Amino acid sequence: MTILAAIDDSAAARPVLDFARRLATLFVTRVESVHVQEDGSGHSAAAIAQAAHIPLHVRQGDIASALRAEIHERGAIALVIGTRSVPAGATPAGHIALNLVQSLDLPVVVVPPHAEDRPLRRVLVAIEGDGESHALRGLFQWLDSQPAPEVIAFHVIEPTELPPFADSPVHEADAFAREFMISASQNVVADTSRVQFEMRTGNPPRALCDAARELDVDLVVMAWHQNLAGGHGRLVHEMLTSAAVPIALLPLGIRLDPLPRPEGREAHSA
Amino acid sequence: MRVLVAVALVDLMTTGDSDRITLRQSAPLSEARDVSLMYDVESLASIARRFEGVVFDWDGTAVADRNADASAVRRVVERLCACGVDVAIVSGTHLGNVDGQLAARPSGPGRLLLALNRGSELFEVGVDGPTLLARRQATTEEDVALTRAAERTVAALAARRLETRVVSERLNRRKIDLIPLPEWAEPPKSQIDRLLTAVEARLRGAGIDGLVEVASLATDIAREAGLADPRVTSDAKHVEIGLTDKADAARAVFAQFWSDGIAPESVLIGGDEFGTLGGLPGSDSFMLVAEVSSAGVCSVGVEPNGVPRGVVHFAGGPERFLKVLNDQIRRRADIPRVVVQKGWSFVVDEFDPDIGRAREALLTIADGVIGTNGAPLLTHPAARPELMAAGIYDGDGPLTDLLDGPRWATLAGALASDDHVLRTLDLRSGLLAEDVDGDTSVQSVRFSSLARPGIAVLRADVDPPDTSESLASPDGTILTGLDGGYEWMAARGTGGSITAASWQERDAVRLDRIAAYVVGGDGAEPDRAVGRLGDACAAGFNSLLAEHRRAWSRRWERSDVRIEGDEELQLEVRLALFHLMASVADRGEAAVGARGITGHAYRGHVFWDADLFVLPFLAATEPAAARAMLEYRCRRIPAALAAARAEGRRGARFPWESTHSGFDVSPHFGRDHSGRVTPIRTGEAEVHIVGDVAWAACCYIDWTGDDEFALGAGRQILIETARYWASRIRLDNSGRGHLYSVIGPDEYHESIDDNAYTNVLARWNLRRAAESAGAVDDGAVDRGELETWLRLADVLVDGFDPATGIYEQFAGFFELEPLLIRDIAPQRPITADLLLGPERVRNAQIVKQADVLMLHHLLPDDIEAGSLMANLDYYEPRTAHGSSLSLGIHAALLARADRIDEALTALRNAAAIDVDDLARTGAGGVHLGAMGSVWQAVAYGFAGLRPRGDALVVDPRLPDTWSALELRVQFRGISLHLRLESEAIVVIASAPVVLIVDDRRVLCPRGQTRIPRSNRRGAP
Repeated sequence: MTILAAIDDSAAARPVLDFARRLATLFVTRVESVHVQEDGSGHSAAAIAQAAHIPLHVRQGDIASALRAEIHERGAIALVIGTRSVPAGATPAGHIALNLVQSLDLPVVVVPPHAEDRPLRRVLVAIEGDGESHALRGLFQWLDSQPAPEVIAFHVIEPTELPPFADSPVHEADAFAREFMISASQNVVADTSRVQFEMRTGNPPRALCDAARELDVDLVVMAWHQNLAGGHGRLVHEMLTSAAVPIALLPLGIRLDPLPRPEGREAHSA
Repeated sequence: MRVLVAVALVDLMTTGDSDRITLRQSAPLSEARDVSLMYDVESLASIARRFEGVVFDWDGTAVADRNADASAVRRVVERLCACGVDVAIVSGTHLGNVDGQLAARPSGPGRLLLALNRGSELFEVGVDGPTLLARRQATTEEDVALTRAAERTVAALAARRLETRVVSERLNRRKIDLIPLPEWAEPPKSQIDRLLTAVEARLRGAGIDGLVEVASLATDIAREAGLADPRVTSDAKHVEIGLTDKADAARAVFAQFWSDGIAPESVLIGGDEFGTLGGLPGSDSFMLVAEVSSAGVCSVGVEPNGVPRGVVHFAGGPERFLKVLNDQIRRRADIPRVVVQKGWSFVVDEFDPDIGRAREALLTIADGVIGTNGAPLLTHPAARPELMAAGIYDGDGPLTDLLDGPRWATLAGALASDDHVLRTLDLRSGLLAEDVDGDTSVQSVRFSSLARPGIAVLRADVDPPDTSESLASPDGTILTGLDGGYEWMAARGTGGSITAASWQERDAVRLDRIAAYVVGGDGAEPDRAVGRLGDACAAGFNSLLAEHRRAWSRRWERSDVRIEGDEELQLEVRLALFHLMASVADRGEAAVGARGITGHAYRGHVFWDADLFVLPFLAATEPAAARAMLEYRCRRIPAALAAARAEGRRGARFPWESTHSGFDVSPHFGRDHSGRVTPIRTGEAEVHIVGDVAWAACCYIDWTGDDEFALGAGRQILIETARYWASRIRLDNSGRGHLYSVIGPDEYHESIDDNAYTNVLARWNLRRAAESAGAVDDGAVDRGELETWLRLADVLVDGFDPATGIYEQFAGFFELEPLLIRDIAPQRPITADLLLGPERVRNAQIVKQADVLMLHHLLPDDIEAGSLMANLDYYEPRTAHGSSLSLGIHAALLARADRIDEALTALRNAAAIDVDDLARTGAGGVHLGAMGSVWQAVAYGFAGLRPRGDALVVDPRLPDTWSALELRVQFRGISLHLRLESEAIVVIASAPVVLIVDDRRVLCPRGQTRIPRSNRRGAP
């Protein structure tokens, strides 16, 4: 089992490898890296991979095709890739990243170039609440068997979906959260007792980014339809643009059974 | 579907050992020898089932004749009554004949009724014999007219050379013998075809074309004699002219059955003369009145001309009918059928994991003491079966929550995702039926006994058989044990305990379970629970069912609302009333949380919802329950006195959020939907709760006239709340009174000064307290204090601007950003604070819920006369209805303002809050306050009810789409059934009562009064 980190020849390669290593540690699996050469590139990539003690595979040709081939060859269970090469500010995600997240049938973790290297202590999982996030169930079940990281189930109520009543806002929010978690436990969360629930109102990408910062999370997990055109796709697009932490995108319908588990842990089905 | 006998002959088998009627496919039609044994399958199925009421003809059906031995009938009738079945006997003869022959003396719980003298008398028979319930008493003129009609009929027949004679002058009728010949002196019913032939031959001999012509002749003569509505019937030998017939008897019986909670679908009608006789309708066919068209009907008579469609014909006479009755005794072991009735049945025809829990709350069955939600009996990860007890809490401070009790409505099997689950809540009888079609099939009925609060009953057929324990353990501290052979289980909280003892019995697929709950003690109370369980088990399923059904029916007779012209709203209104009644005990004290005992939202805390929104309905329909709610407040006056002292004030400071202790449990900070951690000041500043409690006490007094309460505990509430206001009001330099730093009902604006609602309520509180205190010179309040109250009331500012006629909601409200709801949202209701953020709404003229307008609803006589319209025009467009409590109140006021279409829309929205789970927190329980506001919208708004001293104002404003609105209320001990139509008000009163209609005092005597309405006035 391998987590594959796709790196370019820029400084953005380092946070990608850093996060891939953190992820591999958590999932108790191997991490390898791949670079697709363009015009003789690869020197920086090789140096960074060597410094990180992560094997590097170099391929030629069309980047997306080459990466797909590498994923297939390595039997990778997840791909870690940089959002873009440009390290500064909130700029649109690169076309390679966008291409891959829409086409690969495995989890893709997109790492912003300015992401800090830090332990994976806290994961925020965005939940729609309408059953759309079924793909997250396996992840939750797997995380449930781990002592870490902390898991925060997160939901954003958009203005058009605001409840019409809040007799007592605190009691109402309490009741809403309780019901949301019970509902989510059917569709997504295996054990609600271990999961902290947070909700916000407003614009979802902004609320997600703000919450990721406010709650000091190290990874945001989202399930999606792999279509950037839809409403949820726009949310993913905006998150890839503006998030300061890695975003893990889980295509709907994928099974997470192949994820390795620590010894002695019982496997859960997705 | 009607499968005709052309396909199959269905034989009704009466097996010797069981007397159980079964369906069996028999020989094809071509082989059938006895046409009278041919039925269609549907008809036969219509009577081969359990009925809850049986009504039957006496002579010819139950007994062969009046000399027959009726001991077997007596035994079966008494047994049926003992099993909870209501039995009624209909006969043309008098009490002496029927009761003398039957001599039954049932001890209940089922009732025995005798509808005699062809519908003119109704008796109930108990262990001490018959008691007259109703009698149609002919006037002298009617009696004369009856005799005249009979004599003229005999004369008219004699003129055609037919000798007949008047043979008896019974109550309200005259009987003419058409064949006064010795050989036909007392023909048995079994000879009726021969009798008919003889009579018709006799008539033809006189040139008369059969019984039809005789009846027609008698009818015409009766009308000429002065009878407006003569009832002419014939049993072949006689023609009878009367004022009543068996249709009247049937209607009287069915009304009694209905008041016992027995619907027409659950009634079996038996007779021997449903088919025509000589061209006239059979005498028993008169029992088939339109309103009971869904009853099961069977005939055991000869029926020479067949039976009407839908009547199952057994033939066989009384002997066969006795077997029919015995079959019903056997069927007491069946699961009672919960019939879907329009306007009475809340049906959930699926189990949807996403919205299932909100449905579970709506399907809650409660008895005022315990509430059991309607989660499926079989387990499912998405279901959350819960049992709570009113006023029994666990935890401390703001986290105090209703304690979860042991659950009785749980089976061992699991619900699969594709199983079909059908749950039907019969609001009228408080029965919840649940059928599951899946790997485990279930047919069941369960109820939480309103007659014996704390007793829960389940009967189910479960295949494969159930293996569950009779009680399921909730989370938390649980004690278990065995006592007297019964299992018991107890949950303990910081504010009381819930102890349950249970019994169950299995026989193949059948499961019978009874659980008895006792609540309130500090620890487990197995002895009490087991004792109650023993009593319940001794009564048995059928008796418990009968008394429960009757208790619910009697509740509805005091509280029902009937809206003619809006079926959807009708059901929603009844659903609201059902939960209001089920959530509140009618004895002891009743702590009524925001969601009652239907869920955990709001942690069962008691808010103003209870006092202002729930209580008025109960004060007007079930005073004992309203009194129990007030008792909850009375017992916490010491805590309220202490809270006021802690503030450095006097009197009683009731808490904004209350649980068992009576001290405030409002949280001091919390997070809303936006995740913001915000300080919460409602506990310290929403002081209008003090006046709300006082208003509730007076609402109860005004509806009931309970002097004992008014002079006792009610007076204490008024005095101590007035003392609180007196100690809180501050005078400025000009001598004007103010209440600073409060929160009104509009919680968008905090720490405001001189909230109009709070100030006017306080002013009313001070004056009402002065009136109450001054009425008795017992030294409780000295003259100086009383005068201080009145002086403070006079100087307390209320924000009213005479120039505009508008009350300023609080000091400075008019200076806030002008904003209308339509400027920020396309529709209401809307949580404006979540949409705009608390800062924006705090600085805008946006109102969460009725605030100033709440005054117009609660205290219309204590605000400026004629100010409703201006304030409605101003505040209505600014109200977000961000509280579920708002829409119903606006509906009431819009109705009073004659803005009927808007009122109706608001009412429908209020009634749909839980049914449509608009707040998406329905899983946490129903919005009981909003449900109370629905009743208030109908009663105070559309019907215009309002106690005024010893009179009740009735001032209807009805939508054109409603042909009538009916309400039942209790006013000062008098039961009133009001029917409000556009042209008139019809009132049925249990005692003389004064109504104020169109500003006129109308003294209505006991019974029915029709009050024509004058032209409607303009809006106030």
